[in-house]
Amino acid sequence: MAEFGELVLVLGDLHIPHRAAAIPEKFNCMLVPNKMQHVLCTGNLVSHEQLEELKALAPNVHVVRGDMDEACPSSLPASAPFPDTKVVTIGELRLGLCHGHQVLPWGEAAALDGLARELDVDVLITGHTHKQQVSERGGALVPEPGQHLGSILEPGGGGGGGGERRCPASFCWQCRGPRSCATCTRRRSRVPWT
Amino acid sequence: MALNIDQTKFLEEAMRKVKEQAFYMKHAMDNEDLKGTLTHASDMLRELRTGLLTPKSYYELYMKVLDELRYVEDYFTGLQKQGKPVVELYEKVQSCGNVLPRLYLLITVAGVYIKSLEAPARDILKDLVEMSKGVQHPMRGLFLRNYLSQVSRDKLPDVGTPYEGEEGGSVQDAYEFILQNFSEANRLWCRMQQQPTNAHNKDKKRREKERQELRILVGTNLVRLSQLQGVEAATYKEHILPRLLEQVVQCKDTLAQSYLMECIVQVFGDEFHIATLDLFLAACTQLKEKVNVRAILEGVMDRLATFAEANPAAIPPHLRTFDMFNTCVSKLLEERPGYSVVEVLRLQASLLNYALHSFPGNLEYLNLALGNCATALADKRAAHQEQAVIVAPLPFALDSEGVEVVERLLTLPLACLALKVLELPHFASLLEFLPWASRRQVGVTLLQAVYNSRAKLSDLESVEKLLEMVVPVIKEEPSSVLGSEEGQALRRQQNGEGGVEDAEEEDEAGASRSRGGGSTGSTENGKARRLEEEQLLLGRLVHVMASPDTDMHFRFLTVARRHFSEAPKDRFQYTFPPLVLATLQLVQRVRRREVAAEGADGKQEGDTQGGRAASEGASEQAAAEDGNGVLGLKKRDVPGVQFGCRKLFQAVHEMLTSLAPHFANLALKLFLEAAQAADRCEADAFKLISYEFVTQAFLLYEDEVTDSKSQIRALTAMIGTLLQARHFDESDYDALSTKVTQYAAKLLKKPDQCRMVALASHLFFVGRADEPGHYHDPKRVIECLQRSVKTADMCMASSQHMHLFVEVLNHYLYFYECGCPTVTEKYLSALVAFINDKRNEAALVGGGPAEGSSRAAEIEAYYKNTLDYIRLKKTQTDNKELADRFSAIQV
Repeated sequence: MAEFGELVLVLGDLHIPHRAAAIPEKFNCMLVPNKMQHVLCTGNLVSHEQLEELKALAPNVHVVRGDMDEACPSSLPASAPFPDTKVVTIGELRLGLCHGHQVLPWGEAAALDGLARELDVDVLITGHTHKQQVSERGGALVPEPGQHLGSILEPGGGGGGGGERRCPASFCWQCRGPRSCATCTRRRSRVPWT
Repeated sequence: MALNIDQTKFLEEAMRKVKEQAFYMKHAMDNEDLKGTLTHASDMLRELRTGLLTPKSYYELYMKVLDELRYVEDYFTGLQKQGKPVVELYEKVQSCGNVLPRLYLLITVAGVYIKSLEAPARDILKDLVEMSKGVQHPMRGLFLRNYLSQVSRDKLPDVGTPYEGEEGGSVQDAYEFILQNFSEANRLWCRMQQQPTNAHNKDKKRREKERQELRILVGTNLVRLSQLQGVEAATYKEHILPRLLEQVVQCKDTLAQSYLMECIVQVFGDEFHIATLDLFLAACTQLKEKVNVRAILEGVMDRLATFAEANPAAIPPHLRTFDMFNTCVSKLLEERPGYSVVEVLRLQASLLNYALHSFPGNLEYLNLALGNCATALADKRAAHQEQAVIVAPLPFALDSEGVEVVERLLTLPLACLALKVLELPHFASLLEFLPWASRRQVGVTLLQAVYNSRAKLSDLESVEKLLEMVVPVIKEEPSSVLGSEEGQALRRQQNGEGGVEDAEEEDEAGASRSRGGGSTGSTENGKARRLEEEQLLLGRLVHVMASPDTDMHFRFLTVARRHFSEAPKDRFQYTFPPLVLATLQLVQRVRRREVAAEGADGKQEGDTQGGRAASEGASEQAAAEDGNGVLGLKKRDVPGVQFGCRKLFQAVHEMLTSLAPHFANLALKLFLEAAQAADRCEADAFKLISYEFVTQAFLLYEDEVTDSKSQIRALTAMIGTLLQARHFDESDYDALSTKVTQYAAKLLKKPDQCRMVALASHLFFVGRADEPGHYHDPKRVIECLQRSVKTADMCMASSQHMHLFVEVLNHYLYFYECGCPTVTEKYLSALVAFINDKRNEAALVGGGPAEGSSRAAEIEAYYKNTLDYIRLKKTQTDNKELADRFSAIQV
C-alpha cells in the first residue's frame, strides 16, 4: 500500500461514568496521541474529562451531541454545545456524523439513509444502538464484526489516487468491548464500494 | 566590628610574617642551605601558634602555610633523589625547638620518607599519630591532624598500593591509623567547648558556632575511612563502626554526636549500613537527649528506602530491618516523651516510606506504621480531652503541619496499594484524625488509585469500607459553612449553563445573564469545577463494584445508593445516573436467572401473569399515582433469586423519583431508559412496569419541561422508546402514542410541530406485517403526514419551509418503501410536484440565492439526493416488486 492515508478514529457512546468506569484497557492502550489525524465521536461522552482526553489524541476532534449529553447539565461545554450533526471532509470523502437518537426508528437503515441524503454525505457515522455494524443498503453487506468499542477508518489515497480510491480502503476494527460503538452507513449512490 | 577589624589586622600581620620567612626559606633552598631552610621554615610555621585568630582567619593562614610547605616537600624530595637518606632529614627536623613547627616539618618529611619506601609506612604513621599528641591546643591540634590526614592520604598501606606489604603494613594499619587520628581529632574538637571560660552564655554560643565551622576537620577522617579500598562490609562491621560509635557515644557531646552520626550515614555505602543496622540503631538510642535522633533515623530510613527501590531484593528479609527500625523508633519514643505529635508522625512517615519501598506489598509493616501514628494521635487526643475538661471544650485538632504529614502518610501507600488499603485497619482509624477537606483529598486520591489499578470491588465488606472512607467526597462536612458555599457556587454555575442554553435560542436576556454569571469570580468556578470532577470520579465507583452473584451485586448498589442519597441534592445529577444505569444493566443478568428458574416452573405461569397484567392495565390512573404500589404489587419469588427484576425496578423508581424534582430532564430520560429495560425483559409481566416508567416520563414532560428545545428532545426520546417497545398491551400503546402525538401537535413553534408530528407518524406503523407484535394503523400514519405537510405550508415566512417539505417527503418515502397502504404514489407524486412548484416560484421571485445561499444549496442537495434515491429505486433489479412500485411515482 503506497498511500496509507489518514487515520480516523471513530468512537462514541462512552458513557463514562454512567455506564462504565473507564475505557476498556485493551482499547485504551491504543489511544496514543499523534497516531490519528481525526477523531470522530458520535457523542455521549457525558463528562468533560473524556472530551479533554479525546482532544489530546488528534489535531481534529469532532463531537456531536448524544442523548445523555442533552440530559446531563454537566457534560456539555457550556460555551459551545456540541451540534446535532456535523459534516467532516477527509480527503475526498464527506463524512456525516450524528449520534442517531434523533433518527427514528432508532438504528433503522432506511431512516439513517434519509439523514445521509439530508447531510449529502458519502459515509454516515452514527452511534446510539451500541451495536457495531457497517451496512450498505442494497449492496453487499460488510460483515458485522460483533460488539466493538470503536473503529479506525482509513480513507485511502490521502492525495495520490483518483476517483477509484475515494472509498475507504479498510475499516480496522479495533478492540472488543461491551459498549460504545459506532455504526457507519454508507450511501450507495455516491461512490462504489470496492 | 572591633573584633573584625582586629582579626583583619592580626591576619595581615601573620600573613606578612609567613611571606617574609617563606622568602628567606626559598632563598636558603636555592643556596642549598639545609640548616637555613629548616630555620626559616620553622619560623614561618611558628605563626600557626597564634591564639589571636578565629577559626576562619586561622584557616586562611593555614592554607597559606600549606602552600609554602609544598616547596619544602619538593626540596626534601630533591635531596632524597640526590641520594641523601631521608632518615637523616627525619632525625634532623626533630631538633626544632618548638613542638608545632617541629611536627609540621616532621609530617612533611615523613611524607617524603614513606614515598621513598625507605621505611615501612606503618611505623612512620604510628610514630606521627603518636607524636601529634604533643599539640593539645584544640584548634591548633585539629589543623595539625588535618595536615597529617592530608599528607598521608595517598601513602596509606591500603590494598593495591606500593606501601602495603609485610613491612609496610596492611589495610588494618591504614584504618587503625585513621581511627586513631579521628578519635584524637574528635577529642580535641569536643574539648573546645570545655575550655575554661567566663561561662558567659554568649561566649558559649560563639564557641559552638566556631566548632560548627571546624567540624569538617573531624569529618574528613570518616571520608578517608570510606575511601579505603581494602575495607569490606565485614571489616567495617567488626573493626571500624564499633570504634566509631564508641567514640561518638562516649564523647557525650551533642554537636559531635549529631554531626558524626549524620556523617556516618552519608559517607559509607548502603550495603555497609544494611550489614550494620543493628549496631547503628543501638547507638542511636544512646545518644544525648538533645541530639536530633529523629532526623538521623529518618536519614537512614530514607536513604535505604531509595536504595531498596533502585535495587529490589537488595535488603535480605531475614535481617528483619523493618523490625529493627520499628523497635528503635518505639524505644526512642518511649524514652523521649518530649517529642511533639508532628515529630512522631514524621518519624512514622519515614518508617512507612521505608516499608513501602523495601518491602512492597507487606501490608503488616504498613499497618504497623499507620497504627503507631494512630496510637500516638489517640494518646494525644486523650490527653487533650483530659485537659479540655478543665480548660476549654475545644475539639482536638491537628495543626496544619500535622495535617500535612498525616495526609502524606495516607496518600503515600495509595499508588502502590490501591484497594489493598482496605486491608489496613489502621488506615481508616488514622483518616479520622484529618479534617474534612484533607479526608476528601485522600478520598479522591484513593479513588484515582483504585481506578488506575483497574481493581474490582467484589465483596460487601470492601464496598462498605471504601464508601465509608470516601464519605467526605460524597457528603458535605456536617454543618459546615464551606460546604454550603460550594453548593451555591455549583447552583450558580448551573444557572449560567441554563443561560447559555437560552442564548442558543436567541434569548438575549439569557445570554446576558450567563455573561454576568461567568464573571462572578473564578475561584467559585474553580470550586464548582473541582466538585464536578470529584462527583464524576465518585460515579465511576459504581462500575468498579462487581459480583458474579446478582444478589450481592445489587447489595453493593444499595449500599452505594444509601451513601449517595445522603449527599446534597445537587450532586444527584452526577451519582444517580451511574447507579440507575448500573441497576438497569444488572436487570438483564437477573432476568436471565429468572428465566432459567421459570423455565423449570412451566409455561402456564407466564400466561396467567400476562392476563393479570392486562386486567391491571385498566387501572392506569391508580398506577400512575402510586408507582411503588404497581412495582411492588406482585411479590413473586423466583427460587434462588433474592432480589428479582421487580425489586431492581422498584429501586430505580425510587431513585428517579428523588432525582426528578431537581433534574427533570435527566429523570425523564432515565425513566425512559428504565422503560426500555423493562420491555427488554421480554415478558408480559414487565409491561406494566414499563408502562409505569413511561407514564412517569410523560408526567414530568407535562409538569416540568417547558422550553421548546427540551420539549423536542423529550418527545424524540419518548417516541423512540415507544417504537422500541414490543410488549405493551395494544390499548396501552395506543393511549401512549395518542398522547405523544397530541404533545407534538401542541408544540409552540410551527416547524417543531411539523417535524415532531411527522416523527410521531412512525408510532402507527411498527414492524412488518409478518412480524409478531407489529402494530399498523395506516390511517393515522397518513393523518400525521398530511398534518405535517399542512403545518409546513404554514411556515411560509421561515426559510425552513422548503427543508420541511423535503423532510416530510422523506418520511413519505420511508412509509412507501415499508408498504404502508395509505401512503400511495399519488401522495408522493403530488408532494414532489408541489415542491417543484415552490422551487419554480422561488426562482421566479428571484429570491433563490438571496437568502443564505449555502443553506439553499444544502436544501437543493437534500432534494436532489431524495429524487436520485427514487430514481435509483425505480431501476433496482434485485427487488422487482419495489422497483415497480417506485416506478409509479412521478418525478
